[in-house]
Amino acid sequence: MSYSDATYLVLFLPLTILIYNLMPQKHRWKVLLIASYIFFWCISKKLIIFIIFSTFSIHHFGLWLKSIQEERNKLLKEAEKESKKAIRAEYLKKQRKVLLLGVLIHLGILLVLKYSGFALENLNALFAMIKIPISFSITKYMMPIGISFYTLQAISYITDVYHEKIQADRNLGRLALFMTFFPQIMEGPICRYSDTAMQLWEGKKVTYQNLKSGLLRIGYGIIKKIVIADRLNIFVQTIFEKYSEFDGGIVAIGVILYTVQLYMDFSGVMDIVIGSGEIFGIKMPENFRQPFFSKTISEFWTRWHITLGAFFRDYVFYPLSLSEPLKKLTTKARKKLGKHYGPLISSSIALFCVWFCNGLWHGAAWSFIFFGMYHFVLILTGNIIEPLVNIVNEKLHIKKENWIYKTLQIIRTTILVFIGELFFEAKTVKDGFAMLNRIFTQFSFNGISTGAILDKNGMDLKDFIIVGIGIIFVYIISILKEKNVDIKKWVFGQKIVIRWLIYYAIIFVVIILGAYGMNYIPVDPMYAGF
Amino acid sequence: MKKIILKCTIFCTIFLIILIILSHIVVPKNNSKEAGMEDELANGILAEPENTIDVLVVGDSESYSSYVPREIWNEYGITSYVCGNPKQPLSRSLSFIYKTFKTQKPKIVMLETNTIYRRRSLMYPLYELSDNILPIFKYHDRWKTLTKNDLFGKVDYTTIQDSKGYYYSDIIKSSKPGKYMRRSKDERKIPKSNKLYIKIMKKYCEKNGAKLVFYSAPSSKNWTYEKHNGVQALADSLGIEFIDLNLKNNEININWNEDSRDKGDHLNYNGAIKVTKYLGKYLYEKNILTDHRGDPNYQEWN
Repeated sequence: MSYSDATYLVLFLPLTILIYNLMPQKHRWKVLLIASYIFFWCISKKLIIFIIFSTFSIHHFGLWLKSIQEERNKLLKEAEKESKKAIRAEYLKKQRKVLLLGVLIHLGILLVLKYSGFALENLNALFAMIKIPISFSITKYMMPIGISFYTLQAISYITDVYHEKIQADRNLGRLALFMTFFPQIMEGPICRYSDTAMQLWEGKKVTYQNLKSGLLRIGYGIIKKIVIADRLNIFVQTIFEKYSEFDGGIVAIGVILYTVQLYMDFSGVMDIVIGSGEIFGIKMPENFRQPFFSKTISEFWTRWHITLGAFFRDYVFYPLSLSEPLKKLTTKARKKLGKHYGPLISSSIALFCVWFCNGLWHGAAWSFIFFGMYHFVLILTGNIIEPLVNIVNEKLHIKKENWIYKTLQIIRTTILVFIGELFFEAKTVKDGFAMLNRIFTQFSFNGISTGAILDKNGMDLKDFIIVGIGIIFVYIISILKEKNVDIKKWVFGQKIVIRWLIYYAIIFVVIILGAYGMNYIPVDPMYAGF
Repeated sequence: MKKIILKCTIFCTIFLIILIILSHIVVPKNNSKEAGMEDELANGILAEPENTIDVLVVGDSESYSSYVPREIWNEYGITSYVCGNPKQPLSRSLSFIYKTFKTQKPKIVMLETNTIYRRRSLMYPLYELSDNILPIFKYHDRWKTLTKNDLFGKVDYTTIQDSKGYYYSDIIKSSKPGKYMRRSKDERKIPKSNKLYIKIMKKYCEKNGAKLVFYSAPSSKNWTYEKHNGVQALADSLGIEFIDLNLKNNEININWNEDSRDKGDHLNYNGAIKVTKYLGKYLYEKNILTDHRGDPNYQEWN
């Protein structure tokens, strides 16, 4: 079962809504929790044990931290002024140990299940290269779907309790629901406890307004996923698997369309997820904010997979940047290199860690590490040349607000994103470079004129036209969103005939133009595998 | 609240009407591939003259790769048709049985048992239902090839399949059977929903004067002794005859070096003929099927 499946949309979600609404308010959270466990069981079977373990574990660590904090507060109340600092330091140490243990347990499970095979494979290769006769046997572990997402939620919970941003929750049921809420469990968004836990617990009634609003968002998401993304699947897969059979121009089209597919798939599923939450009156954090209007790569990552970027910012970048060694380094460097380049050194170290983790989070392969490093280098380069760019702009009287300048920045960023996604999807880094080489050295569109591109790829001209119209449609919606136009408000403000026409249009576009059924292979949500 | 319910009812009614209209437009007007028909080999049954098929075979790819209706006609004058399609689940087998009985009166229905172990999502029966009632979901992609005839024409199935549902292949890809059909006492569990389908199927066949028979085509890749035990137990409990050809190799002589088209997964023509000869003899010895070879109404079979 996945979010764009009929099983979810026609059976699971409506049944859950119905039972949820029939229950008295104080029991509604239980309906959501049971539904979430059923959903998780359907996608991961007995591996459900991992998320149950994680839930018990963060419940325990949260309370452990809380008990230390309460003990400290009690002592602080009774302590003399001069001894308070020492008490704080002592208890901070205690808390740090607990936090470290909690984080290590969660990271440990993720590392063993997701990365041990990759690490041992590389160790074996290294030993073979330097002729050490040691070889580890590699065990492939079954991984519960969504582990990369809920592990980050678990870590954020313990860390937030440690920082006393939130109170540790004594209620195991509430915590379990925060961890497993079914719409978010496969692909996020990576929610913080403060984002959703209380809303989930509240058990608000499903209102007609929420239902309409949620369904409209779900409809938009299904169009993106089933009509556009899934339609592109065979074409994109063929180009990436057999790139050596195609001209550079066609490979470039494949790379662009892969990025389109990934965006439509992931953001489409997010629309379904957030729309599902909306029906229950739950406001989940947004994961996309028109990423293809970004003027720089850093900006792109504040608009694409926002909750992952925010996690790395809050739980890796800031703690590292504000750590004592890096603070000292910044102070020293500022004196020698000045206000811009001084702090850049320590922030670059933190940035390196963020992008290494970001790359690795996506999967255990060198191509993902390369993907992370690619973005690190781009952002670092942007930071380094920023003063120079400012000088050149000033000398040439180029205004940053100028729309031509902005458009050129957007085009440049988009091209850099395409290249990044090329390495993201390529089987190996070597394949990625070979594809890039083909694009630049053998750029032609011969396959289009001979029609070969249509024969080989499971997509005919009409499919390309549908994809084209779909992209234009999503682009227009994105422009409106960028201009802060409330599209839902506009739709709901229309007369009933227009409103219903819009609803019917969405439903029948999905039914008629959806890439499902006998001529298509079902495509699982692309981010569920991470 | 009443207003909301009324609005929802009107909305759903209009939705249903549009679905019915669209279904009428996209449904293939003939049972040929060119007209857009899915599984045109299996759906060739739709064009067979009324009450001319005596044996119906259903199942997944193992069925249409192992049973050659023409061979049985040539030997015994018995008419049969294979309504098998790739990965056919039991809900689809049942659907083909219903479809066939609308125009035919087969006396024997043979179910190839590989499909008994196929698991399908909870929604599959609903898909099946929607396929039959609202074909827009199955044939939605036909918007690409619609013609004027689709808008105004009537459904008329006229395309007869010469192979009567058998899928011909003379490719040889040998296999090494290895542990194939190594004796075991264990039983492979059959999904409960599939057991229910079998019961419905049996009841329906009996009600329509037909006998349901299980047969398992030789497949060194798909079949195991555990599966045999599972199906045998089910067959015994329901009083259904079960012919497991995987256990009868001394009689049919499948040679895995030359009788498979894909390394033991499916039989090729050579292998299918061996299986069909055995099944033909079995059907003939039932003494309930007529030899139609001299009958002018069956001219097309000659």
